[in-house]
Amino acid sequence: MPMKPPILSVEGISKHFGGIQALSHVSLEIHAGEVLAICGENGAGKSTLVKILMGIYQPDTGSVFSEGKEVKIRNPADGQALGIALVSQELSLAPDLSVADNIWLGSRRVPLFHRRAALRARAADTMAMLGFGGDFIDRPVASLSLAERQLVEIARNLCRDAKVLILDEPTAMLSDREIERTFAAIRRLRAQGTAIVYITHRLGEVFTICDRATVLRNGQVVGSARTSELSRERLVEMMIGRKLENVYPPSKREFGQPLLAVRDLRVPGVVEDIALTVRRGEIVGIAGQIGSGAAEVIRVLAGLVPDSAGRVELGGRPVPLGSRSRMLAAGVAFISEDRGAEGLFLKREVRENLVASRYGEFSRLGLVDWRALGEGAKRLASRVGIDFRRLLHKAEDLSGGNQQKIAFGRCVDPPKPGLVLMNEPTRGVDVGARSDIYAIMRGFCAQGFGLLMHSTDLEELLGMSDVVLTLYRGRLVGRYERDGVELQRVLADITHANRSA
Amino acid sequence: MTRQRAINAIRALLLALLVAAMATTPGFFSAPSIIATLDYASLIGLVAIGMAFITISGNIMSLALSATMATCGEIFLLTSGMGMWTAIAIALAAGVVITGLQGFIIGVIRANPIIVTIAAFALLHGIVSAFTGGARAYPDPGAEYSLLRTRIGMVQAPLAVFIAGAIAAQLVLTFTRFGRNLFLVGSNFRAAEAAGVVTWRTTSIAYCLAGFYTALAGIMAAARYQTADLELGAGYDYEAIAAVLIGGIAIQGGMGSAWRVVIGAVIFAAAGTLLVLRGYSTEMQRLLTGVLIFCVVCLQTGGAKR
Repeated sequence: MPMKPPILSVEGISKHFGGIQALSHVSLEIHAGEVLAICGENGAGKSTLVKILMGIYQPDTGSVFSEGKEVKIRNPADGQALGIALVSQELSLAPDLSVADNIWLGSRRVPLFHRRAALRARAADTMAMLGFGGDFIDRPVASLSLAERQLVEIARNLCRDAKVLILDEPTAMLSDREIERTFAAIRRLRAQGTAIVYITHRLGEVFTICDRATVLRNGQVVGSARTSELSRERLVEMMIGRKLENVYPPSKREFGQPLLAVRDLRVPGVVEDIALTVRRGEIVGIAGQIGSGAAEVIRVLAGLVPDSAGRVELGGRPVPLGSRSRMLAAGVAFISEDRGAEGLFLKREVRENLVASRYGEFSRLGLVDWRALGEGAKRLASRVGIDFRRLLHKAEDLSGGNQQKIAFGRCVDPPKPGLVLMNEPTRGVDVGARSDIYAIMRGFCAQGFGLLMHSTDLEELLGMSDVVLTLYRGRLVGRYERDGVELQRVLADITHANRSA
Repeated sequence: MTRQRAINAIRALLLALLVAAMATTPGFFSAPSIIATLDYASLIGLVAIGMAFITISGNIMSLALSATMATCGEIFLLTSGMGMWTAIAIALAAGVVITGLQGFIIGVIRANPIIVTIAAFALLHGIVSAFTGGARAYPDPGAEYSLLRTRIGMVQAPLAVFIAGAIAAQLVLTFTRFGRNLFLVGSNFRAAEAAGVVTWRTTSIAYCLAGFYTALAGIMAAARYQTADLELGAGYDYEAIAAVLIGGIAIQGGMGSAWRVVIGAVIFAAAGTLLVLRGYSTEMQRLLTGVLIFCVVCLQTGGAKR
């Protein structure tokens, strides 16, 4: 089929770091007017490959070709000269400047004396191509949504004549409506002949937006196929190297006494009038877009929001809001969506991370019993499937999946099973470790915990929850039992699609 | 990793330089100079242990410890007529309260630690000057505290207190819940909060201990000189933070040990003695302090940027 040589291709690329072979003999082709998904678990070599294309790393062996000619990408400037651009999750825009100014900021193509009108016209054309009209280019970046900023970043690269756009998890932080907009822009870019490399953990998107998928596993290319000829099961199998049976373990549906009862919960300007209950053995999921307040409900109940009010009872006893340590004492565990900033102590040992909330169990009169602590940490590690030998490693040396298991390990086997609150329980966790975490969650149910979670991954939320609550702009909209829940209904609720009059 | 290797190389080089200077400086390995070095290391070291609690807690350093040291020294001398142990207890309590209050403010309202301690420094100066009218403090004529001035062989009282204090500090860090929580709060405050650590309490206790160790230094210094004024602790903040950093405790917090402080204090004091023996003025020691802090901070923060 290829009439023209691929716009960018690599052949036999290998790269090692110390004793670790990050990539071995990787070959792939990127064509103009095509969206190529690069799939793989954490540590499969995706980011190493991207960094080689960007000129940040040099390959040990192998060659890179641009439009059929062999090229060397020695540094990021070489990569830019070839028209390769990366749009990562961290955006580099100046919030106080306008869209147009941001697009041209720092560009070497702009001479000291230039016609501003020409630059504005080019910026406006590019934004129009991405679906933004009129005076959009005069708006300050600070007033834009995250998705819009991402598109400005893309426009910025297009105005620098980018031919290959690498999008790294572009939808990770976006709401569903915003994702649609981003997809529309990607389709337009494809039609214009831009080559797009799409890196994502969300398998659904591979089929929605990508033409072809190349799968990496342990630094090797496992296969490459058109997405139209690929099934979801086959893709997962290629990524993890084995068949994945039923990702979501079934619910036993043995619910006990109400554990958590919430009434009149409110955080000024964020959520209003929230009422919900969680029974023992039950997983309640709160669906809501980013900004809907769903994540905030979880944080309030964890005791992490000082400015909150409401009546909260745990096992029939009222507990005050606003103090994390008091909530912890009442048996409320919390798993954050942001492991680096809030979830873990990445610079400290795995063992310390596991026992961080529970020094009380391993000490008497304020003195730590290191023997009991060592054994306790081993027990917690084995319960969540973390290798003993890693207990003394720094948490940052573990993969995302193993880090998340540490966070779950903190909640395992308390003196009394209580409530586990979770925001995005599998963010940044690869497919294999995901099913381990789902099994841990169901294990909690079997022990009589109650679980309350929020996830923007609706498939996960519906797959795991016994009861789904939908939230729109800080208010509860609907409540669905496991049997009666439909993705379309939930989606309509949280985007307010039916009711917008 | 290469960066780490470069840092280690520079460390080894500096240490070799120090040892070479010791070997070529006549009289460094004589009893008087060793005693002087250890003595100097003890006073700096006591303040540095206190400082280390603050550094590990993630609050960088305190600029009020010099003033606290002087204040506690004065309080010890002014109350020395009530008996040595009573005077010690009052001076220690003063150190704990003065510094602990700053910790409480920093821990509860998350005030900037540097600004709070600068304010505390100014406040202490003002209050003490108003109270004493700027006069020096002298011990009560009948006061008896020769125990604090004894010397057995090469070991002087401050050294004994420093060694005991370092061991106690290490035990606190390793074996108490407070010590373990301190590392968590220092390495990631938000994660500590989310894990249910009572962060304001941990921070307050760290400052109380800082005050305790600083007061010990003040008492030992006042007993040595038999007089004290607000200049008693001058420069000790900087020398203590230099010792903490030389020992290899990260300025970002969340790691460190009392052993590192001991090593840092001894190296710093040895460098000071070398300067004196080679005929440089005390101003040169200030210069050395500044250069050392600069070097260590540049090395550390450079290393943190992967």
